[in-house]
Amino acid sequence: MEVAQPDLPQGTLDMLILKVVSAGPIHGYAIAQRIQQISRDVLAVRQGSLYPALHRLENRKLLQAEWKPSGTGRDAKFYKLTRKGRSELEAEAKNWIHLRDAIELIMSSRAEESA
Amino acid sequence: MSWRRRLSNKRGLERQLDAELQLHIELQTRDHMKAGMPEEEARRRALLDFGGLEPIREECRDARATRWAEDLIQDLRYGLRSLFKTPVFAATAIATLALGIGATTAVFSIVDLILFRDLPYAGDDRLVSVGIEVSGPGAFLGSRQEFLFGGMYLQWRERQKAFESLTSWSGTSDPFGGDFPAGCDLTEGRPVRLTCAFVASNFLPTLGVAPLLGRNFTPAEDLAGAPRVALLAYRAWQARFGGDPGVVDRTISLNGQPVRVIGVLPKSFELPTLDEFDLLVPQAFPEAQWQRLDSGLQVWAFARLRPGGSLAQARAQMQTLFKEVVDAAPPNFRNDIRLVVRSLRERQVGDVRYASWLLLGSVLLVLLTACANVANLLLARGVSRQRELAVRAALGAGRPRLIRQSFAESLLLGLAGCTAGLGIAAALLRVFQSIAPQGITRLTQAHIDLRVLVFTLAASFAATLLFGGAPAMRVRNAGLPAGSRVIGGRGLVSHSLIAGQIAVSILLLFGAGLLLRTLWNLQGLPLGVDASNLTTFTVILGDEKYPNPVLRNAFFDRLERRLAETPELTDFAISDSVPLATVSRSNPLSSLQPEGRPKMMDSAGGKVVFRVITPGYFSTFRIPILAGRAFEEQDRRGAEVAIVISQTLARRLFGPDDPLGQRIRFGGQGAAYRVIGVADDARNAPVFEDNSPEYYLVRRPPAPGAIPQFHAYGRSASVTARSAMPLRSLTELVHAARVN
Repeated sequence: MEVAQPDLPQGTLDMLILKVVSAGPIHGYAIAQRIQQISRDVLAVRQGSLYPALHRLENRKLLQAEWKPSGTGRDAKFYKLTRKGRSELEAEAKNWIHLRDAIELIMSSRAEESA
Repeated sequence: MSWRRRLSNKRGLERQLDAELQLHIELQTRDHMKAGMPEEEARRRALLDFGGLEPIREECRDARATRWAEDLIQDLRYGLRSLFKTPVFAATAIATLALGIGATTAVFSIVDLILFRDLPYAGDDRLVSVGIEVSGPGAFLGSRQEFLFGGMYLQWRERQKAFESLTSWSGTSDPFGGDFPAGCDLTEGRPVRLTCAFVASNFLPTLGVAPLLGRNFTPAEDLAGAPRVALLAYRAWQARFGGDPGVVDRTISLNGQPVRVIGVLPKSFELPTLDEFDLLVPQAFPEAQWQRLDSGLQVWAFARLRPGGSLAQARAQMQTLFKEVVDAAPPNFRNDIRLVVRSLRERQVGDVRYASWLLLGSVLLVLLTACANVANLLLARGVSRQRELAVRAALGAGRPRLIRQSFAESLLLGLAGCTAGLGIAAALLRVFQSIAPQGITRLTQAHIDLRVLVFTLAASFAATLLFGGAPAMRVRNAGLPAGSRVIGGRGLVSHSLIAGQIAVSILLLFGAGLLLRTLWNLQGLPLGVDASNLTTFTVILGDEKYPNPVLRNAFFDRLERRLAETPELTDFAISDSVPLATVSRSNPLSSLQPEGRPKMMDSAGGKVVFRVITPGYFSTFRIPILAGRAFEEQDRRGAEVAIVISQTLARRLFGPDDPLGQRIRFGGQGAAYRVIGVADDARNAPVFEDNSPEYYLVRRPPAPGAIPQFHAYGRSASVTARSAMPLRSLTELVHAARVN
């Protein structure tokens, strides 16, 4: 009953993470859960890509991390957006909408038009 | 977080990463349990979902920017451990590298000054040397480099349009007298002989040099008869005046005359011809007397190109003026005169340029061979380490990581080699400087400074890449079952290494062989003089106490008597110049005219060296007399002047005829000299130059032009401190003297 999960286009994972984090400080596991939930289980982020991506974003100073109680009795690493991260997210979102509209236009064109 | 802190905090970072990933698994487990799974199962699923922990950890580490540095430190630490485990290998490799790097650095420190480093003048690329060159048989004129006659220089200075400015200097104080005082004797307290260089008032501005203290000469100070002023060289300022800035405007006594010091030159200043000097003094040419183009002293002219101007342009623009010089020259010279306009560096470096490149090239080949040797050593050791590499590959070390590891070890060897090499370079440089003959361009200036250091580091790094490359290539085959492809991989790399090494070594051997043969030939060159067991002593008379020829003659008469009374000496002589030395007096061959023979030469015919000697000269230097006799006491008095000529000169002047008893006139006028003997040829030029014909005159008091410098030679059974004593004891006779 494995549903084939679509591959994320290159670079979109970073954007999705930034978007989820933009709602407020959140830890790694919750980010994965949120992406899965919001996408109604269409997108499942593999841990193998999630954590390296988080570390990369932190390293690029787009995210800032802080250790805080997680409610499980253990401290968790909470990520939040930096100012740089927020402008990066806006830029990428704008880009994404352009791209999506363009792809949409092509894909929704009728066969005879494209012929 | 700064990357230094991250590095130092590495353990903390690792712990945090683990905590983060653990929490993820825990939360996942909890969610699975919420969905109704038993705890065991939930945990198993969570771990399964997660996949391998270690690859994720690795990737997270890679995402950190400091990853390379963490790895490097780890690799270096590992490399250090493995080098310590094989000390003989490490020592051999480091010693090999150190020799290569040391030789390269030492040679570079010398060659850099010759070929690459800026000259110590502002805008040095626009400085040129200007002059005429007299080649072929006309080259009797002392200077081997381009020069101008004073008259030419004065006219060119006023009329040239090719340069921003044209300047000159006219040599240092000349021991052979001439138009300048023989020396620059600082006659204060204990007198010292200094060397003065005579320069034009626009000399420093043209070169782009400003005095460190004080000011430059004014044009008025450069006129004949002006009050005398001088600029001090930095070294002389330090040595004679203790670096006292108060020396400016002080009046010192030179040759007993008051001279005002107007400034001090910067430490880096040097004459464009690299001559040594202590003081700069205005030329103060007697301009009114130098109206003819070929009148006056020889000067060396330098000019500054106009901004954007080229050498070729300047050369073309100078043609009109040069044509006047050619037209004014004697007809037999005209074809031999050439205009020279070339960059200052080229004048300074000349032929040394090729030798320098050759030297640098060969020493780089030596470094290359050293690299190949070390690469081979590393490869040989690599075979025994193949198993270790395979294990590490199996444990998850990536190929790039293994290659880096291999390079880290090479880097350590390179660094150690570099450090040891610098020590070797410093030692080699000192050896070069102490054994090399005088006159090698800038050799004494060479030292290891920051610039050389940077070169050494770069060379060592390049060497590391070279010798580290071979073992790294071998690593590419690692990860296969141990031993499987080892032989093939090593074979190819190391075979080409060995082939290259042999090729380079043969090249170097040939070069060294040729060099040795040249040296051998030079060594075997007959000198014509036997200098063994000779003690030499040079006397320079100060102008203050010996202002005229009569007093000088009296002194040298006393000197001769003292030598004659010294029983330790089997032979002794006095002469005005030393055989083999570069400085000797000369005339054009064409000025010698045998009586009763047709004028035989159209061209100047090269130069003839002449020497004024005492009768003992030939026996002292063991120069055989081939015909006739050597000088005797009677020759020093008679009305007729006797002359002894060298074999080559005899052949040039008289061909197959017997020269004895023939007469020679000088410049076709004055008294004729009678040939009384023919001496075997003795070398009077450096071994790598052509020998000149030579004639000898005996020292005849009273000689009106008696020059203030003579050399005395004594032959004794052996040269010991005791046999040298009689000569040393003569110092009491001498006012200002140097013992050579």
